[in-house]
Amino acid sequence: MMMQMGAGGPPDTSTYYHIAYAWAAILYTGYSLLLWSRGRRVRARLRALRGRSASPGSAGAAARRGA
Amino acid sequence: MTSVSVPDDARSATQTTRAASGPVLFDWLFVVAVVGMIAAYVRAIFFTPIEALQGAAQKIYYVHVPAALSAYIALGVVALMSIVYLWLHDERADRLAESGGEVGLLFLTAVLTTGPLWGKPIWGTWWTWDARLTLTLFLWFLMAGYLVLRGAVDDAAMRARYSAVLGILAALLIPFIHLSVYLFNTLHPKPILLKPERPSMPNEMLVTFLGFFAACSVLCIALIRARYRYGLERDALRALELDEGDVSE
Repeated sequence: MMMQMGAGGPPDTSTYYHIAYAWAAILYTGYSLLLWSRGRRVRARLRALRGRSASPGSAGAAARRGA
Repeated sequence: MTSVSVPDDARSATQTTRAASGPVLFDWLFVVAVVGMIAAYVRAIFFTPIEALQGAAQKIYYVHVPAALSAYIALGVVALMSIVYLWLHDERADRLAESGGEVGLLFLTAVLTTGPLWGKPIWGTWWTWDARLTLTLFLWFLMAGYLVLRGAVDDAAMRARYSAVLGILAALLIPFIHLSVYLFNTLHPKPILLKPERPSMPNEMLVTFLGFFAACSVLCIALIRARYRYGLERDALRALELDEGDVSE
């Protein structure tokens, strides 16, 4: 049966509508969180690399001294 | 042996972001989008009447159609920036196209999953091989392929050129998807708003739809901006790793 008819009112199709709204919210929030997490990982790696190349004994610092 | 190349602007970004902590991924536009989406949800759930024939399932329209239009916007960015890249060879255009591609795939996923949730109670089936549904599924596969291609090619210039061509070809499907309900005998409803005549929707529902559309479009642009910034930092990291590797050798 496609949909159950209420007594004289509109059919009860609210379950599908609730799932669709919740799913859309989960999808958008999930992607935003994923992007935030990826950004955080890249930043942490960037900070680590910059810290390493800034330390006096590093290869990067040696190259810069040579230049 | 594989060669990895990094865009020039990522190298300069490495220099410029070295002093500063770098731009935040999610800015004021994202906050506006989140507030807008919450307001749109509240209006749709609590302040919009239930349609007499379809019942509450009709409200799926407010999340489904704005997601489709946002996917069109994101894929429009992919096509436009791909053309700009092929013309000017500017890495920023390539990065923006990549951002549009990923966000476009997100909205296409929303379209392809909320659609069946409306189809089941109204059509009696989750899916039918209708022209519009099938073409949208093809576009989803093309955009997934676009992102896989981007991850598979190491050389930045080659990756940008190949993906620009694929991005333009994928976006060419959009007019066919929009016109498919006119060109083919389909089960999918014809446009209620994007048509030559006046919108066939009561004002209360129209306001809800327009609110959702505005919020979804802002969210789409905010996510593309955030994804672009992430791409800039990722490329800066690649450049730095390459520099470290060069120095160590």
